[in-house]
This record gives sequence, structure tokens and C-alpha cells, in this order.
Amino acid sequence: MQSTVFDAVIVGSGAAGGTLASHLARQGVTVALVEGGPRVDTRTDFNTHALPFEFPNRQIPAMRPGKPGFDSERSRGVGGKTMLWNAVALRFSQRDFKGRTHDGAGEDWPIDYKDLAPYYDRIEREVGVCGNRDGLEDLPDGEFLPPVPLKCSDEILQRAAASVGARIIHVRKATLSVPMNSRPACHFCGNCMAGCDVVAKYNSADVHIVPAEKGGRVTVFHDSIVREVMVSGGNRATGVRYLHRIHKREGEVRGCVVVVACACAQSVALLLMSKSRRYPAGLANSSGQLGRHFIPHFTGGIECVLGGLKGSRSANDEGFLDHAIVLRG
Amino acid sequence: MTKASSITPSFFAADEYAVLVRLTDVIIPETDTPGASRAGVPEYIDRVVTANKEHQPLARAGLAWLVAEARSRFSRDYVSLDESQHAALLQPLSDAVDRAAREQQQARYRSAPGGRIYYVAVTDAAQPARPAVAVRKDSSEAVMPERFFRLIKNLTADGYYTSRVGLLEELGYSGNKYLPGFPQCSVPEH
Repeated sequence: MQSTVFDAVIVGSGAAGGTLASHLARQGVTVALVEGGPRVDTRTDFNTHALPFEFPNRQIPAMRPGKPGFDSERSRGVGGKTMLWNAVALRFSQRDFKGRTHDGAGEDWPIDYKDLAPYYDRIEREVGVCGNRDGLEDLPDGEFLPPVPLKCSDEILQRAAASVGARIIHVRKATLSVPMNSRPACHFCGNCMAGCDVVAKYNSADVHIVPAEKGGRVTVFHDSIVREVMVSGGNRATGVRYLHRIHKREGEVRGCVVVVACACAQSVALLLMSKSRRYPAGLANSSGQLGRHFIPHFTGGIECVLGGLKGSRSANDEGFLDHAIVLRG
Repeated sequence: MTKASSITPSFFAADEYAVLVRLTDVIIPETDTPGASRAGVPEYIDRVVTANKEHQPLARAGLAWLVAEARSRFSRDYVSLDESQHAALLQPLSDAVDRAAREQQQARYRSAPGGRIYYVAVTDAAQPARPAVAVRKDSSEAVMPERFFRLIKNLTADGYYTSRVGLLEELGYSGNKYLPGFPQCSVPEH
């Protein structure tokens, strides 16, 4: 295996790495997919249907034992964060691509929405995204499966929002509302971010990587934490060096092309760690800006009690998590 | 007496544990559903206190305080106090704990105009959910018996409502279910 030179070496097996591996393999490209975490079996490794008293300290762990480093924030494991993501899958709009023009901040992208739209169409058809076609300029419609109904609370908020001229629409998630490609529809059991044991929610391992492995062109190196992108004297990336998480030994995977796709912070870290005499500040860092001005996924929340539901019968309607998106008025 | 009192606790001594068992049953007594000790709450508390060194001095001091109070105020063993004596001992502590919790909540929530939305609070969704073993922060000014009672009351509620008895029998929760379809809103016009 050490002497094999793959057409492409991809670091990271999440939404980007897993999808890319699958699409390259379909074109006849041989791919090494190098992933820092373990393999995950969606059917048995999650605790989606567990109850707290099955565990001594009453806390339902995200994963079965033996899957270290696989938590809900930055996941290492074959499939990456797609195993535990919430699956909200929104398109960028033309305005998102032109932030500087509209808001005076950041930089405009060198592409337009129309350049990317066909690829959005393609991936949505491939992974299955449910949603309603709302005709909004800033949240472009896609190739949607039927939307999932709103919850009572969403309907109350929707009416309240309408009274002040704001809109609340169905969420758009890469979760099947109807069966597709031998994957069943969502059964609304609970927290999508605790893992989906039936792959109604898209994950790159089951939808993209495993089928590509069966085709023979994708080889997965799991539990292999990449620490350096190797560069030749001819100034070409030639592969990666990794540390095996279990066996505690070093290894190399060589390829003609190296793709770094291991999440925003880790990808940058890998480039910064890939120092050489030619690149003392790391790869792709001639500007010295790599890793600066970092903005992570920004989250916040508003919590409220809806008086209208007070005294109503409790309902099993938390499954699927978010059902609605509140648009800024 | 109960299944709970027959196990060997790992942190508490046998006499401390007997007081703990009684205390948890005063907090969540047996009604038409089993009380705290039959739900295994004392074992759960023993486990949490064993694993969390910071709770150990408070748990030990609080149980000793209960025994001493029972002796000095009622000339009895804590475990043989009657209901009114338990109430006389614990009600002031419980009231103080509830009052502090209310104040904390009021500081967090504010009333919204319109009446339908009662409380609005901004939370940090990035914070991971608190594990069941974590116990709410104590305000350092609270006196020891109050801090002790808050610890045990919180742990009792945590332990009870994560047990089979509390979660399934009392709350009627049935866990994550396979639903054939999403149950659309069936609440009549609000």
C-alpha cells in the first residue's frame, strides 16, 4: 500500500471530502480518503433510541463506546460532521456572493449564484433535501422533496410573525420526507444531531463513501490523523503524512493531487503545520493571512414560552428538530 | 424497607445513607407512583457524589446537620421523624432554594409585550447540553444547609426523572418513537 500512488488524496471524509471522493470515483479516478476518526456504523453506533436509565450516570452518550473524538461539535469519524449535523441545507443567494457590494464588508466572490445553481440542483437531487418552494430571492428554491409540516409552535409564531409583516417558512433539510434511493423517509424519532440510525438524514459515509468503496476506486484510511501535506522538490504536493490514532505509528499516503477538506479550523491547521524550507509559514500562506480573521459557525438562540399552548396535551412533535425558518423582516 | 437501602453505597456510610434514603423520599414521596428510593435515586446520588469530589464535604456536612437538628429540635433520630417534623425542618430550606431559583429565572427572562410570549431569553445554542451529573452552581453566600438542600433536591429530581419509574411511569414519556408520519398540529385554535 505504501508504494501505491493514488490519483487523488483527500484529507477528511465529511460533506466535502466524502462527496468529492464519490464523484471522482465515478469518473474513474482512484482516491485515498484519509480520515482522522473511526468508522461509524449508523445502525448500531448511535444511541438515538436509548433511554437515560440504560446508562449508569443517566446521560445518553452521543456514541457507543470506542468512538473517541466523535462529538457533536467537531466530529472525527468516517462521514465527519455529517454524521451528527442538523442537516439544514440552504442555498447561498446572489446577495451572499456579493457581500462587499451590499454590506461593504468582506470580499465579493468571484462567481455568481447562477454559476453554482446547477451544482446545487445536482447535489440536492443526489442527497435529498426537503423544503417548500417559497420564491424568495435571498433563499433560492431548490430541487426539493415535500416539506415536513410545521409544529403547533411554528404555526403560532407564523401567525404572530404575519401580523408584523414577517415570514416563517418550512425548514430546508437534507433529510428525506419521502423514501429515496433505498433510504427510508424520516420517522421523526428525535434529535437529528444525535445521529440518524436509518440514514433518512444525509451523511457522507452511507450515501457517498461506502458505495464508492464497493466500486473499488476509493480506499479509506480511517483513524489516520494527517499532520502534514508533503511537497516535492518540483513544488508539487505528493501526498500526506499521518499518525495512526490506535497503532501510534506514522504512515504516508501518496497521490498526484491532495485535497484538504477536514473542516474549517483543522484544514487551516494542517496547512500551517505543513512547513518546509520552501514554505516556512506553511502551505498556501504566502500572504501570512492563513488562519487569521477566523469566523466560526455563528450560533445563538431565543427561547420563549408560548402561552397559547399552556394546558394542551403534550405531543410527540420534537422529532426532526427545526421545522421552520424565521426570515428577517 | 426498600431496595435502595439494601445496596452498599460507595461514598456514604451506612448511617448517612439511611438519612439520605429518608430525605429523598420526603422530597419525592411514594404516591400512586413509587417514591424516590424505589426509583433508585439514593444509588444515583451516591454515584454522583462519589464521582464529584466537590460535592462530598457538603453532602456529608448536610446529612450530619439533619441528624443534629432532629436530635436537638425533636429529640429523635432523623429517620424516625414524622411528616410535620420533616416539614418543619425542610420547608424553610426548600422555600429559600425555590426563592433563589425564581430570582435567577427572573433575571434571565423578561416579560414580552402582547402577553402570548411570556418569557424571552437569549441563550447560547453553542453550549452543549448539561450532563445529568452536573449540578447547578451554588451561590456562595447561601448558608450550608440551604446549599446542601439545593444539591440533594436537584440530584433527587435529576435521578428520579431519568429513572424508569420517573420517566416512563410518572411522566408517561416513552422515548424516541418511530412515527409513521409527522403528527400535525392538533391543538384547537389558540
